[in-house]
Amino acid sequence: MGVEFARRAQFGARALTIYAAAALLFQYLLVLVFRTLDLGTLGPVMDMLPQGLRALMGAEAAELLSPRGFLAVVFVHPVMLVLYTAFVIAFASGALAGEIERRSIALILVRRVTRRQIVGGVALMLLLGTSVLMALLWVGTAVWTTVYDLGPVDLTAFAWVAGTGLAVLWALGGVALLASAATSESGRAAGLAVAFAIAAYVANYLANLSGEWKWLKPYSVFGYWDPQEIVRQGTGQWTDLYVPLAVAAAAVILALIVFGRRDIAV
Amino acid sequence: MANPDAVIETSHLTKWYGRRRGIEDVTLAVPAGEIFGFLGPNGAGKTTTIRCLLGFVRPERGRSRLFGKPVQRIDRARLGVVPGELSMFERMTGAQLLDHLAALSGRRPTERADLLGRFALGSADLAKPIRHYSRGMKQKLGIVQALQHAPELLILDEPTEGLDPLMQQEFYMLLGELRARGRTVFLSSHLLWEVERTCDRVAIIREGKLAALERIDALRARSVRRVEVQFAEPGEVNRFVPPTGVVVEQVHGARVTLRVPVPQIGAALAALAARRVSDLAWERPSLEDVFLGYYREAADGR
Repeated sequence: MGVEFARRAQFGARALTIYAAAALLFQYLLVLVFRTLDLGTLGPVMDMLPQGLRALMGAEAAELLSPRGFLAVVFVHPVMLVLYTAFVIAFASGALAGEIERRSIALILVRRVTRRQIVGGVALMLLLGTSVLMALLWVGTAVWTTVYDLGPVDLTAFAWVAGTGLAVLWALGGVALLASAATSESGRAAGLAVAFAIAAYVANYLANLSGEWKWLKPYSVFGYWDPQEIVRQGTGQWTDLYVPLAVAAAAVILALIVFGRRDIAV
Repeated sequence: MANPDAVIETSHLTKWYGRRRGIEDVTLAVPAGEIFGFLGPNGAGKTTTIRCLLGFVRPERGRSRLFGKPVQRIDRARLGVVPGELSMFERMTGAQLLDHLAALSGRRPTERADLLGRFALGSADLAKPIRHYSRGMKQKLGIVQALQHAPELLILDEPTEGLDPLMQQEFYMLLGELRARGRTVFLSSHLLWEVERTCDRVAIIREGKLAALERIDALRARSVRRVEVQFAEPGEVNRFVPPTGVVVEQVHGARVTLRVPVPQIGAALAALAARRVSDLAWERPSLEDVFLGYYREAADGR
C-alpha cells in the first residue's frame, strides 16, 4: 500500500510543483500590480464599480485598496480558482477513471492492494497536495508583505483564509474523486467534477450579486470561502470549515463504496 | 459443490453488460499442475471470464473460486496475471515497474533475472521509460512482471500478442517448464495451434457459452488440416484416390485442396506418395474450421 501511494505521490508531486509555481507566480504578479496602483485616484473609481464586478471579488465589502483586502482577493481570483480546481480535478480523474481508461489499473488490482486502499491513497494524495498548495500561498503572502513592506497584515487571519480555502478544495477534490470512482473515462470524470465546480461557483456568484439569490449561498461550497470577510473580521467561522469538510468526507466515503462495488471491465 | 482439487473453479458463471452478453452459464474446473487452454474468437467471452475470475466484475449469476476461495480472499502473491490488451504505467521505466509490482506482490522477484535473460530484456531496455517500448517489448515485460515472483497460478490473456516468433517459442518452452514444476496455467487465446501445442485440456467458448471442454488430444483428433496439393500433371488428379474421411474441396487443373482429419494424415500422405506430387502446403485450421467441425458433428449426430 505504501509503495502504491509512493508511486502516486511521485507523479502527483510533478503536477503539484507546476501548479504551485504558477499560483505563487500569479500571486507575486498581483502584488507587483498592487504596488503600482494610485490608491488616491482609484478609491472613488472602486466605489463606482458595478455590483457584478464587486461580486466577482468575493464580498459586498471588498477592501481592494488595502493590502490585506487586496491579498485576500488574490486567493479567490478566478485565475487562482482555475489553478486549484484544475489540480484537484486533473489528479483525481486521472488516478482512478484515467487508470481504468488506460487499463493500467489491472496490474494493481491483481496484487495485494484492495480497492479501498487505492481510493484511500488517491484521497490522501489530494489532501496532502492541496494542503501544500494552500500552505505555499500563505507563506507567499507572508513573504511578499515583508519584502515589499505591505503591512500591517494579520497572518492569523490569512491562516483562516488558507484553511477555509483548503476545506473548499477538499470538498471539490472529494467530488472529483467520487466522479472518478464512478466512471471509466478520465474525460467524463473531469467533466462531472468541472460541472459541479462551475455550478457551485455560479451559485455563489449569484448569491453575492443580488439579495434575490442570497438563499443559494449555503448550497455552494464557494459560499464557505470569503477571504474578504475573514480579513475584515480578523478571524473565520467554524461552519466555514465544517460544512466543506463534511461534503469532502461524504464524497470520499461514497467514492470508497462505489469503487469497491463497481465493475472494472479492464 | 466445491471441487477440492481445483485451483480454478467456476460454476454457472453468467455476466451481462447491460443488454450486451458477456458470458452465460460457464462452468469449468482446472486442477493444480494443468495448463488449461481457453479458446475462442475475439468477443466470445474469454476476457469476461477472466474478469470474473479476478474479481474485476461481478457476475449476475454463478460464482468463481481460486484456490478454493473467492478471489477477494486469496493471497494474491500466489497469482500472476498477464492482462489482455496489456497497458502499463508509461512514465515509469521497465525496472521501476518491475520493482513496483514485485513490492505490491509482497514476494521477492526470484525469477526475474532468468526471465529477463530468456526474453532478451537487457539493463539498457529496463532503464528506458515504458512509453519508448515497442509492442513486443511491452508484452515481454508483461510476461516478466506476471512470473517474476514465482506464482502458483498464472492467468494469461493472449500472452503472445505482439511477440516475435522467436520469443513465442521461448514462451512456449517456458510454459512446458512451468508444467514440469507443477504450476497451474489458464491460457486464453484465439489461436488454435497455440493452445494445441501448449495445453493439456481446452475449453472452447463461443458467443459467451462453453461449446466444448475436453483433452487436447481429443480436440486434435477432431481437428482437420487443409492441404493444397500441386500434382505434376492434371492426369494425376484423376488417378489420386482420397482415403476414407479425406474430402476433396477444390480442383483447379493440377492443383487440389483437401480436407484431412488429423487421424487420417498418415493415410493421406500414403495416398499422395503413390502419385507424382510437385508441391504440398499444409494449412493450420482456423478456429472457425474447428467450430464448423463441431457443428457438423452435432448435426450428424441428430
